Amino acid sequence: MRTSAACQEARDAVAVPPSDALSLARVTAHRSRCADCRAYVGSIQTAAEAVRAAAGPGLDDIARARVTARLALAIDELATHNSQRKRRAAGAPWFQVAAVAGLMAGAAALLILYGHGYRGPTQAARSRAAPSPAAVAAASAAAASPAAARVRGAAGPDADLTAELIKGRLEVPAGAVVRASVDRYTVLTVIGPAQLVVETVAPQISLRLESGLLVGEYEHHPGGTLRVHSPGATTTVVGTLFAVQAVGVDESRVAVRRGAVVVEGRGPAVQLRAGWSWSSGALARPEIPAALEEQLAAHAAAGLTPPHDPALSGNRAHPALPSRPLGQSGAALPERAARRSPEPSQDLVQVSAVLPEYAASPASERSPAAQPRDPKATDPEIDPAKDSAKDPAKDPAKDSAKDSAKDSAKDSAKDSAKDPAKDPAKDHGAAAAGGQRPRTEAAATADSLYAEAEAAMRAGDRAAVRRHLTEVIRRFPRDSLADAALYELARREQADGQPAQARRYLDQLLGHDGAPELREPARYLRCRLELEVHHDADALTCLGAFRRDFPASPHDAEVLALLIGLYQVRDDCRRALPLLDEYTRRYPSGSLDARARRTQCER
Amino acid sequence: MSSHAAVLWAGWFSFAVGDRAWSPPSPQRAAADPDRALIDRALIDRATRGDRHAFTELYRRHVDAVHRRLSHLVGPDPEREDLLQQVFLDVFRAISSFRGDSAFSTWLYRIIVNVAYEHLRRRGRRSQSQLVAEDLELLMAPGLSPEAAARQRQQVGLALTLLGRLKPKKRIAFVLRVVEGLSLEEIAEIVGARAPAVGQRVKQAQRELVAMYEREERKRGGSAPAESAEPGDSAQRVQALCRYPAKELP
Repeated sequence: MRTSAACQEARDAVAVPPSDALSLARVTAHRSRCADCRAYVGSIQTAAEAVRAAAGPGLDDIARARVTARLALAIDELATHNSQRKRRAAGAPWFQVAAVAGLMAGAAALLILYGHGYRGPTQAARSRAAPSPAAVAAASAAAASPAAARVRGAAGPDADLTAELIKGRLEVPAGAVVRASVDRYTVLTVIGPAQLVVETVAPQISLRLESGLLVGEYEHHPGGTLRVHSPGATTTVVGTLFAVQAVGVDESRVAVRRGAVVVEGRGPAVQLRAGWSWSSGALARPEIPAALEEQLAAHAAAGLTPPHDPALSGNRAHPALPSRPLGQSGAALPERAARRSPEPSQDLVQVSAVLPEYAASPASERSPAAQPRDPKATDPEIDPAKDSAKDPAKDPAKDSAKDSAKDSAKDSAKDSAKDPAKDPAKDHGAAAAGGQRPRTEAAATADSLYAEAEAAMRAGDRAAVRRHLTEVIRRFPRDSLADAALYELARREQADGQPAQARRYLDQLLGHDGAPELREPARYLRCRLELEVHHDADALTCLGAFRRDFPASPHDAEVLALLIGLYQVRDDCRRALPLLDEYTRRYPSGSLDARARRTQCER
Repeated sequence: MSSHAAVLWAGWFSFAVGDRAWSPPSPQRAAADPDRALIDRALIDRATRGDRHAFTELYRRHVDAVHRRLSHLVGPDPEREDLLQQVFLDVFRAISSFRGDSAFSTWLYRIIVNVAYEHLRRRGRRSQSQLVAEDLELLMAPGLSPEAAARQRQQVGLALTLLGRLKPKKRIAFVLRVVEGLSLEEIAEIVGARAPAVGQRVKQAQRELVAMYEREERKRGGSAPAESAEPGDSAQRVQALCRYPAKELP
């Protein structure tokens, strides 16, 4: 049988058999007689088993949570782009028709008026004819290009609460006020007359205030920055309630009511804390000009907070899960992109969000003329939905959402490396000496601390891991990385045989409305801890509640098996048997030997 | 060659753990589970109508399997989570175009393979030899003796390096056939090729792998303990496999 034909048969059996197992059976029949064939097949089997082994233990809880969160964000983003694309496609022809008709009508009116010797209205008549701020706002925005400033949401007095700015130019006429959010962390009030260009949106928001006054409230979050470029100044917002006013061609004023900002003018960067202000060419002062103070107070009094409430964001994922795998693989993964994408069903409307309190203020200035469209600002972003019509099963579309997420991660990393202004903890007391503070002073952020913890994990430095994670929790208790740190610490304590300490961390994590993605694994770990300390009754309660609260949990099979085991230990087959049935039905290839357990019960 | 064979034997038997090693799930088997297929179908219908919760449920049901298959196709790549996200994003984009002509699992497999192919193509021949020792450590089965773990680590590292040198199409065909245990027809449907072409890819991948193994062994100059590495019970194992009746195979 040691013939070349036999060897060939063995090789063919590996390549083109009806089933994998059959191929093994056939090939192994030849193995014992043909060394070459054995080597051949052995090589292949070795490679195959290496592939299986290299798949690793599968997704761990944190990785699953991270993927879930990022996927939800990417889907939100995709849905938004789809919506925008549809709107653009639907709106463009109408706009073109309307614009041409408007121009023709305007030209005809001018011809008629000047043909009759018209010299314009008197000042009083002008005052009488001044349109309401709302009308001005709407008219101004309508005169601008359609891709320019738009506010997402319903028009009307309440529009500001749900409005979202998209990339583009926003022109706000005198007497009008627009309030809008750029993402879930940012609420802006633009007080007309003002011109604001939204250069980039979340998480690296960049605004250019060309004229007018901008009051903003920005909630610090990992990976996110807000920069406002105004004449002669660039303001980096840390997390604060602030105002920026473009005073002239090359002059700005910045004031901070809460939190801190870093302002870069012509001189060194200045960090401003609450109650301070800054003007181009002057030192920071521990007071806020009355005009700005008034607007800041108005913004604060409006009770606007960034729409960060999970209830507002529906099923959107928590934005700040660790950006890198924890100890499993070394390479950095993209960002914790923190974007709030509106529901795809929301309509786009032209700017007309005028608040009643501001609408009442006198329109002392005429609305600025419609500005020429800024091609950079109005260029639509690369549309990831462009490929959505393609069948990914045939040709998977390149995910520009992912690319942009990667880019933003890169930017975020770059920013956090060079931008010391991202740490709110460092802000307090930072502006002691006249508000001046060199921008180069590095400050730890939750991200950087967590990154250090991850580095320590890879280095196997358990003490450093613990120290950095504890530091994240202590310094950034409201940051969602603190939740990840709590979970990681709990896991480590459990692995080290410290269930009490692990329970303390988990209770802390579960005791507040933290990262929803971590609740399920944390609850599961909590139940496991009860088992470890032999609190069987508590474990039963805990596992039962877990199944009730997370019926689709990836741990469900294990939980079910644990429940069965616990009931059997307590000789409670009456409760164990239905669970066994359920286990057999739901997890027919599960690791629990249901038949043996059933026999055990029936015996 | 005999020493090489013996080393590989030893490696293989150290990996081969139970029937699971040669009874991987296939899309057809998954589709054969009527409950699962029905639930998937209902969820797809709802997801097609824009029900985000249904899509989430689909994701939950399949995420682990998708991760495992991706891991098989691209290896322990640090970008696996990105790819996983990409797969489900593509599913989300195209779910409305899913007509049910094939099983959902086959359709999903097709997306997985396309994502993996693009990734492997992008990654080029930057193989996984860059895996650091700690990463390999994580892949080792627990409870091995230090010597066995070291040997296993070496073998896994070598196998992954050699696999990384295969062209993406061949690698995918090889993994789907030999690791996932799909039939050539199933693979052909997934990769959009004809079954004979897929068979050729598998064969070529195998030949290249074996040739590379041989070259590696020549470089190392063979190993003395290899002759004794062939385990005594391997013959029994072979006999057992030979007796395994084909019709009872899973």
